[in-house]
Amino acid sequence: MASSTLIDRRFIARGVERTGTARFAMWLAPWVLLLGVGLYAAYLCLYYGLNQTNMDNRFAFGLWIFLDLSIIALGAGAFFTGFLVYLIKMKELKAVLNSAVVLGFICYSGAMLVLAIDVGQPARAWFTFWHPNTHSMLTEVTFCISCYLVVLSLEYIPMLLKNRKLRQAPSFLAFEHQLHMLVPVLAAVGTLLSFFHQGSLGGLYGVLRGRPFAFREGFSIWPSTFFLFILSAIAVGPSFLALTTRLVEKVTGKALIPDSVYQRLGLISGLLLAFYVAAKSIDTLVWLNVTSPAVGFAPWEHYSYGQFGIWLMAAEIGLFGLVPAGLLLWPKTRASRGWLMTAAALACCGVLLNRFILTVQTLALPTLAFDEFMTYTPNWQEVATFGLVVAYGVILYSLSYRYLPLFPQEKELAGEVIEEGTHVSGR
Amino acid sequence: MKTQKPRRYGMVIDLDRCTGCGACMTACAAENNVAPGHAKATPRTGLTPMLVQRVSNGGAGADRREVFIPVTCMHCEHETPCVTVCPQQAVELDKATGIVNQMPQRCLGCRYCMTACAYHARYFNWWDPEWPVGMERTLNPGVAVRMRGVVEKCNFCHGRLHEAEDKAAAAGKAEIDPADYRPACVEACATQAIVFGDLNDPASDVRKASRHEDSFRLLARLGTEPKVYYRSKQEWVRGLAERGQQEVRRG
Amino acid sequence: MKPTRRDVLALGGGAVASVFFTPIPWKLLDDASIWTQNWSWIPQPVKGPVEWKESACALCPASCGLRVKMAGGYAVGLSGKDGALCALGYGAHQMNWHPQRLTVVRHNGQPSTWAAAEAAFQKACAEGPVAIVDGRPGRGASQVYRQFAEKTPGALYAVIRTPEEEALRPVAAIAGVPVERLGYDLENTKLVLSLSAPLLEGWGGPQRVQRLWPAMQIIQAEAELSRTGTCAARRVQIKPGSEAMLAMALAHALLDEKLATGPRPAMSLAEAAALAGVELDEVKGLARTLAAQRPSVVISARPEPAVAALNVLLGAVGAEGGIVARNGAPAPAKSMDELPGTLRAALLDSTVPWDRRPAGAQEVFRFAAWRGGDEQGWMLPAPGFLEEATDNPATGARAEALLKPPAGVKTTVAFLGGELPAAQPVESAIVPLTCKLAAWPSAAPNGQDGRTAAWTAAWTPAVLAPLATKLHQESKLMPAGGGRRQA
Repeated sequence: MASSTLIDRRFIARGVERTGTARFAMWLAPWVLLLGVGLYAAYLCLYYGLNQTNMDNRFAFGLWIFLDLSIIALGAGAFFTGFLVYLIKMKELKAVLNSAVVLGFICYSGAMLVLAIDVGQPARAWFTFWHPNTHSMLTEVTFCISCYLVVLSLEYIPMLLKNRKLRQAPSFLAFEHQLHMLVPVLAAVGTLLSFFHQGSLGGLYGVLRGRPFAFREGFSIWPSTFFLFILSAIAVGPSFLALTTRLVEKVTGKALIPDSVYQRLGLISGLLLAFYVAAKSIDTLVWLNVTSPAVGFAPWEHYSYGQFGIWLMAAEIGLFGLVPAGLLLWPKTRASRGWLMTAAALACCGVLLNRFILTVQTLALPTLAFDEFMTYTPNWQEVATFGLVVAYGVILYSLSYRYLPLFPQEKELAGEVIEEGTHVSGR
Repeated sequence: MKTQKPRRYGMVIDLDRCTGCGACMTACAAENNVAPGHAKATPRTGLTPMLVQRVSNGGAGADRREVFIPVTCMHCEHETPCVTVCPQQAVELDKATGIVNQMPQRCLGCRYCMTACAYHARYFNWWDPEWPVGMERTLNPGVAVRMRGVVEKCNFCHGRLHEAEDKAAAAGKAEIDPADYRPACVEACATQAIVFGDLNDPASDVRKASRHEDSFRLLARLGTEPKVYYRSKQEWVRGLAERGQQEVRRG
Repeated sequence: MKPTRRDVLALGGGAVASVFFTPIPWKLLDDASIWTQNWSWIPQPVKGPVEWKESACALCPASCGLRVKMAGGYAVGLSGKDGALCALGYGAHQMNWHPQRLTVVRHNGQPSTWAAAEAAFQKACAEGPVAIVDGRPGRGASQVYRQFAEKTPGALYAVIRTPEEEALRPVAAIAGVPVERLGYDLENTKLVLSLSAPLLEGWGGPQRVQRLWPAMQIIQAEAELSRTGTCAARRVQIKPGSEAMLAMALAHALLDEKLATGPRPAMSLAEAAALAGVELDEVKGLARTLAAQRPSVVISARPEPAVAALNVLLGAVGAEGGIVARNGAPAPAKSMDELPGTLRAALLDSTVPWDRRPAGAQEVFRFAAWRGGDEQGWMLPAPGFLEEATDNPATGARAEALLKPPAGVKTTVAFLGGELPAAQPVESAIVPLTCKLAAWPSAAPNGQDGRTAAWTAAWTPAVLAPLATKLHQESKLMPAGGGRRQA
């Protein structure tokens, strides 16, 4: 790669190779375009109101809430990796810690961004802090996510300050050092906060007494979905981390973390996923046989509408739960890069499907005897806003990867070319 | 001012008497300053704090049966779903009256309460309220207009309760005269299908009607203790209380 | 001493920190939160002392008594004086600001002037013949119309009959009294057998039957389930358009069971029952019920000679709770449908429904408060809801206008150069009516579906308050008020 094309060389860490500036700009261009379209859609929704979406009184929650729940679940890798590294002392995972923090930051800030567009009166959103209803799961979610976003920012800033150019300012270096010492504390705080808001996001639906499809009994004030959400999020977090890292390796053509880290991530994900599948199965059985009939809803009725058949439950628990758990736990398949990634992708799809079922199926099903089954399709404004978050994530991650030390072992592994042949479209 | 002892306002709607004329809906909208539907509004994005639904037994010809069911906020009393989920206390169950109140000025429009409501009795202001030029002069002075982006619902015509309370206070009475407080839909019912009053008052018609053997509540098994009751002599109509196996369709 | 970078940073940091100890951020926060709760472009109600005034609704012949909540000179709420109003009534005070409100004279869809309309009308009167069509006879205005027709050569006065009046024409023919004088004494009726009549859907004035029901029992015979059929104590399934057959079958049954005496229809009981699609036993049972539950009456939506004959057999004509004659009814007048085939022009009062116009009129002058229907001819802006003194022919009560009409609006009376006479209470009392059936009417049964098209498709959204329209669209319900389309 011709160094002359690296106009931004001074910002790039010593010893790592990055693609030419022009090529990097070309990679960013379509994402910036998507970002632009998304920003326009967001403007429409904020300026003209939510009539710009396809949501309605029945589908008061739509694509965006699904997006929020999903990316927060996927972003769980951030707190969980911090927890494993600093509290369980699984030093090996330090290899992906920085990447996890960036992903977490993207997911959480993206979720906050969408939530700000999703509420009817964004300018009043802070009223939650002023008049909090302590009984509401959403209050807990709002508090924990806001606080955790601050934690993530504090974890992200030292990484930012490690940038070759920014390090030149002595005060930044000192600040970074101070912050760095805080990181284990932040990891602990983050774990606590995340534990609660991941759970509360599940609780959000579990407490819906008026929606027998979502309503669950539980322990004390927490419905079972509270715990299932935590479990599914931490089960899938490592898988998502492995998947994104692998994706970056593919795109850049460089090895970024040792194979052992992949194995470790896969094993953790597999174990937790197996545990989750077991818990989810028990929960489903209890719900079908006890909780739902108790409020007058025949167990299988929930699955008798439109496309929302029993296959959906089978797919969620079996294909996207049991199968990836098996693939990740069986050493042979885990050792195979292809199988590992397939399993990780299945696990991620599983959590997306779970969030979809809770957000969409819950609202689609009738409650009153004379209700209709209803469906909803998001319109372009909603999809574009979804795209806005994706584009924002890709751009921020790309910039972080290019200018910040996301993978500390990149230099050591520099010799290993992961794919035979040339470096593919490396950034 | 002397305080009145706690009341539990509720309704009993006799479905055998509802002709589906829709006067309750119009009266409700006019009383509560609900703006005309936006040109792009659909039945799914409109504002109908009182909504009369037409329900059939799915039969044809001589076997066909229909019933009109006015659905409004049920003012659930136990673990009121919308009250418990609101993150910023914009919904409250008034202990003095049993009325579930929505405070639009507090609401941030997250719509969590709407997903929580089993009766679909909550509505979101998808548009800014707009009236044809001049029509805003017909707005009821007793009720504030809600802006877009907030949730609203039936509050048993809270403005009328305030008026009745003011009247009682001016007369130096502690208790309001039940005749002074009737929600708009109750007043608008030509067949007097809706009985309204204090469920705590042993002498009230509403209490007696609510305990009638023909009376039932929608989705009572959810355990939220709704305070809107229904009545019908027809068994298939009473069967609409819970989501059973019978085939029913909205007409 | 030169300030160092550290000094600048310290100053900046200190300033930021100390701002929180000033009222500035808190005041801003407070203002911001107040702003989010009060958007200047959200309309707010008119302030002013609230007072209640009495009036009457003029939107349909029912003329319901109103209690009007007034604030700042505007009507801000309505309530029924003698019972509940209809769905349209509760939003009627908003109708004056309907986007379709007519405030300028229009000619063939183009804006025009009163002077041009007056000139055109005078020219038409000179050329003649001209018809003045009154949608609601018996009012003070009706007198002015009649006087105008009398003193203008070639001018005719005609009225619009309501579907209920139309349906009574066969009874009027048998009894030999003008149809204007006939009416149903439903207030004293115990049982009504309705042959597809939309009794609870606006028949005879939106809320009339609703207020009487369910004390009054309704049996609904119809082909397709209607709202009335839904509420009726009993519903009889018949074949479409077979109302007359059922009436004839019932007549046979009444005579067979010795519950009445009189002539028989030519068609046999078995044949009539089969054509109606009703079992013989059911017919007999129905006849027994009708006889046992007297005073009972049979009502059809369309004029049906067989139904009129059945009512006579049943003894419902001239009996309390049946079809009665009253004095004080408006003087007999030609129906609009009986006008000559060619007319130079027709002047339609604002009470004439939108879809009605004399077929032979070359030029139409239509008074209306709202635009709707066809725009052919002249559209003359009339006062809207509560903007005109109204008088109720039945009670003689007169209600003054509570609201100021917009500029450019004129009443038909003023247009004709007349003046409203003082209100005169009309003596309206039931007078004896004896009626015998000499022979079963030979007129062929109507044969059409008894539920007239006018009942279902009558309310054009254009003349409804947007509010009421939207509500009805949302609720998927038929509007109340049935066939009454009122401009």
